[in-house]
Amino acid sequence: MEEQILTVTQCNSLVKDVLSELRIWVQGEISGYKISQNKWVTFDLKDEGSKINCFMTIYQLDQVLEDGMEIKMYGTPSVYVPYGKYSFTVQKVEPVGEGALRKAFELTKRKLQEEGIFSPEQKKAIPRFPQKVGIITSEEAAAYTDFQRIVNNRWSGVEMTLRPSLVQGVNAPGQLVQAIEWFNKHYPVDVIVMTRGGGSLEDLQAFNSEQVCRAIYASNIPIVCGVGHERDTTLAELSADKRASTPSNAAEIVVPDKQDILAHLERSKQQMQDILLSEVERYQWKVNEYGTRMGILMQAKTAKFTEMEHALERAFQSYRSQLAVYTSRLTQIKKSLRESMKSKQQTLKQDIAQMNKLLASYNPQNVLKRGYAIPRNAQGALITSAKKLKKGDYLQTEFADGVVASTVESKSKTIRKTDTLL
Amino acid sequence: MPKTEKFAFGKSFDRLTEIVESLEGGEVDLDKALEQYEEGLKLVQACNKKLKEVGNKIEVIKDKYE
Repeated sequence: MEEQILTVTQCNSLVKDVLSELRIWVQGEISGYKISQNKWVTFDLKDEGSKINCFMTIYQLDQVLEDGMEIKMYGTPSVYVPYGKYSFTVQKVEPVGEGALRKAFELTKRKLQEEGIFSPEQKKAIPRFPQKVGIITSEEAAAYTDFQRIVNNRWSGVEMTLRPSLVQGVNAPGQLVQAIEWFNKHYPVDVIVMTRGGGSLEDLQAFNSEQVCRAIYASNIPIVCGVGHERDTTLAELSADKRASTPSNAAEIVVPDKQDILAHLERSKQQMQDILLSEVERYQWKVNEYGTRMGILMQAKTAKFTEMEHALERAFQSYRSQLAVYTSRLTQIKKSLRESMKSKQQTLKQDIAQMNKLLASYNPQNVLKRGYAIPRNAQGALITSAKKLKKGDYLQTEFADGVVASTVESKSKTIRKTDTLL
Repeated sequence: MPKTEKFAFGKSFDRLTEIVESLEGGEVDLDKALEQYEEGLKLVQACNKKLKEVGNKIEVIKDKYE
């Protein structure tokens, strides 16, 4: 049998094929870490005695790495046939040891922070009354039982869908991402709860993985993330729309408390009643007030009228009293006029009587009656003096009851007795 | 669960909140307020009824992971 002779290319290809069967974990320290064209990641993994040239795509890299970091990597050794150069194709990287893990955590955190993955403005609101809740966690985990128990205690009528996923270990990030994507693509729930119990930094690795954070950030469904009591907040929690302190707290965030809502409903009812009542009272008060105001207005108007009436009355009274004064004065005047007329009349009457009397007394007839006589001459002319007569003159003497004709016999100054005369 | 019922609680609750706020605002006339009050009472009743439902449904999706 002839010995088979390979060409160099065949040799390298053969070695490559043999090596490509290997799937191994290798642990060491990173040096010469480099990302080129934002696509290819290269570094050397070394220990005290040796080093391996490592290569991976940036899409496979779930950690921010740095020189000096202790990691374990999973992958396949390979040969680049044209150069016959051996390298290691990395599929997964995990920091090793508290120091490296912390370092990786800080680096990833800073990176995501700079990209705005944690920014509060990006957070979606958690619906207050979700009907469908998606749960991503390990089915066996206490976190899941806790979550369910609290939801059942608080609320009812929720449809919960559990998409089981590993929550730690090297396959956990991939499953978590898949579960998030599955809900988004195939089962649109109102909210997703991603949860697990607490653990060491290493246990929580998946919740600090960059790809999980990105999947959370990319989810159209709001995500509540709750990890058991730990001092560090995981990056998944920072990326989530709402961070729960524990799985139970996640339940409290996702569903309201029935008692609270019942109380709220009762309060709302009471509030509506109170408001309505006070509104009715307000209207009542208003109506009353208007009534009172109208009353006052009417009163004022009435008062005005009354006042006017009084004024009129007063004016009328004053006119009346004035009229009375005038009337009485007139009456007085009339009376006094009458009286004065009467007395005047009396006086006149008396005067007239007096004058009549006097007149009567002046009537010669009356004088004649008293014994006087009127001497006249023959012509009837009045003889007023004895001197105008002489003896033998004709003398007619008029008496009251007739005339006596005589002749003058003698004259003297005094009356003489007849016998003497004779 | 039928789709129509899906958001019934949230919708009713939101509407109730809206009514209470509107009433609190005090800018509604009495007739309208009475109408809203009536609607609010109905919503309270409906929400209370909904809350009396017991239990939650849980479904586990057993999917094959590669």
